[in-house]
Amino acid sequence: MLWARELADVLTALEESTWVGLGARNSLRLETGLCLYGNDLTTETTPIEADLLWSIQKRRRTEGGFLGADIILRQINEGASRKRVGIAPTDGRTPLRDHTVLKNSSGDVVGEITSGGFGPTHEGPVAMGYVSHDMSTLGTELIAEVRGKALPCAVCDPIFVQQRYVRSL
Amino acid sequence: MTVKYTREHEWIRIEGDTATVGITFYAQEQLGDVVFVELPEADTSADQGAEVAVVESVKAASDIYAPVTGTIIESNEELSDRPELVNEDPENDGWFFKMQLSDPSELDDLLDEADYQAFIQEEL
Repeated sequence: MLWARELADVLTALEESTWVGLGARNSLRLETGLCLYGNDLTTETTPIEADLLWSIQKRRRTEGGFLGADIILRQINEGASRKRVGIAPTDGRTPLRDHTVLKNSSGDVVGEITSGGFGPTHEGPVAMGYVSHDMSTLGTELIAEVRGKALPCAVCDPIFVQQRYVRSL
Repeated sequence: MTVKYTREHEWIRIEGDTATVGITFYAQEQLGDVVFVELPEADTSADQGAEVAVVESVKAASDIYAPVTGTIIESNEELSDRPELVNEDPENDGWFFKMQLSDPSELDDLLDEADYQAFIQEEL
């Protein structure tokens, strides 16, 4: 604990840094379309449903031999029944929060928002969630149920703000 | 003209049998930057304590309650385009809605300014 505190003191003494809360972390990762484990990824989610195929090595994609390979390889070849997408309200301003139910125009439930809020850099609402495969094309119109009202929204790219950080070793 | 406060951090300005309602300076400070306000429609009636509006900040969504029983007569449409008014001027231009009071005696249960200031000191 002592070491953690000293590290925090060193970091916050820097002019460029300040304390932020979980809310800031959450809006920053949401804007760039990064999943939060527990919200957007759970033990019930496959990397194919989550649109995270890049996280599986090419060799593994053909050879398998890992936990869940049966299901995941089948989904790579045949597609998954649902997919993670970005969701944007048509009015451009109503934030869509976690667990908002998504419906098609007939009123059938086709998905759910798993993370949503406001993106300060995007200057608007940012959200991601899962929808059934046939509703996952960019631009597909959906109805979000917000406080008992039907709010029009559409499937969009979950990357609302391009990442600009530099990876280095 | 009298201004009263609720424990839910709303202010209510009474002029005759009309009341203007908004959230307090303390409330907007706790919420952080307001990014969206959902307002009630005119001519809807509301019981004291009913959820009638929603304010969303960068942090969270919060319900706004009717501080007294009555009918909503007007909402501040300006907040749809400029929700930041709630932060900039919470107790004037950032008002939420106006109500026609049904039972002015309900006002007796609300806090006056000194009581409200004491109340938020306890919360701190």
